[in-house]
Amino acid sequence: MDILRGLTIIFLFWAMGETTTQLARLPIPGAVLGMLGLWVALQFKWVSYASVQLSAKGFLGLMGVFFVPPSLGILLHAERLLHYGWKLALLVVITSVLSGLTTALVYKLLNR
Amino acid sequence: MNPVLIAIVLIGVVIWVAGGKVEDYLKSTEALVFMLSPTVICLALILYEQTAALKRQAFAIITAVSCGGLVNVIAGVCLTRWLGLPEPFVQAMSTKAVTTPIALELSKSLGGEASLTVAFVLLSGIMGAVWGLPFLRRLGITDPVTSGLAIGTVSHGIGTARAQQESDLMAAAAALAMALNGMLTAFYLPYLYVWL
Repeated sequence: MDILRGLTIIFLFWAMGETTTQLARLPIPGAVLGMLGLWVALQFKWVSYASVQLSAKGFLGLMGVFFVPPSLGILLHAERLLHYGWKLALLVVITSVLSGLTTALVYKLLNR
Repeated sequence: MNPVLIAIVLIGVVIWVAGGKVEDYLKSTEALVFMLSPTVICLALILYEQTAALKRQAFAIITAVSCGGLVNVIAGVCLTRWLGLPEPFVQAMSTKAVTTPIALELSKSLGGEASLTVAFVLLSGIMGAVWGLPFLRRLGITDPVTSGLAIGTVSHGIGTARAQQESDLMAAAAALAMALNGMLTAFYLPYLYVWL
């Protein structure tokens, strides 16, 4: 029963997020808006933490599993990706390192 | 080792050995991918749990994530063009640090290739999830909030899933960075991309 109630709340916020982005033609995905919506609702106690806890933890615990199938989609592009192999690897590594370090350093600087 | 990476490699090998088609595998696992959207909603719970701990640093977090995201987009677009790669790759590089659903929307408005976009999002995610923490640790960055923010900015949901194995606080920081970077990028990229 708890899980069912939690699922209903989660899907309700998803639907609200999707409806809002569709109607307002926002470039932001509905799920992200729904997440913000649920967070606000939890903050203001419109939704109680206990009512979504069980189902939400279920989804979060399985998050890694949900990423497996789309990851294998890379195989569809194997030929093109390998054609530019080392250039792409270098680009992804360099930009990710720069980006991650920027975030870490700016945060450290501002938080001193 | 990352269990998700092990699963990806194993399934890839099985499909290859059995002579199956990746397209068939993707079609039959659509239900699993569908679950990603409600999982995004559930990240609100992690955010809520850690809001009190992160509230005081709101300004630092928003500024840090915006800077990291901008560096990724600008460096990605400029370097990819500089190396002379075709335009679909340039577009895919610009959205690679953004969570898949947002990247797909952006790809549409930039006129990119959807599946290539997803491939780059995943490359960025897997790379950060596997090497992000060891790399930061080697530089002496062990603070869960700093590491979480960096990993969430670069590796979105895949990085957040990895951060979740470390601690709830790191997962919250990663989820927050993912959400912020995704939203901010969705707002500025369509304008910035034309300009770059």
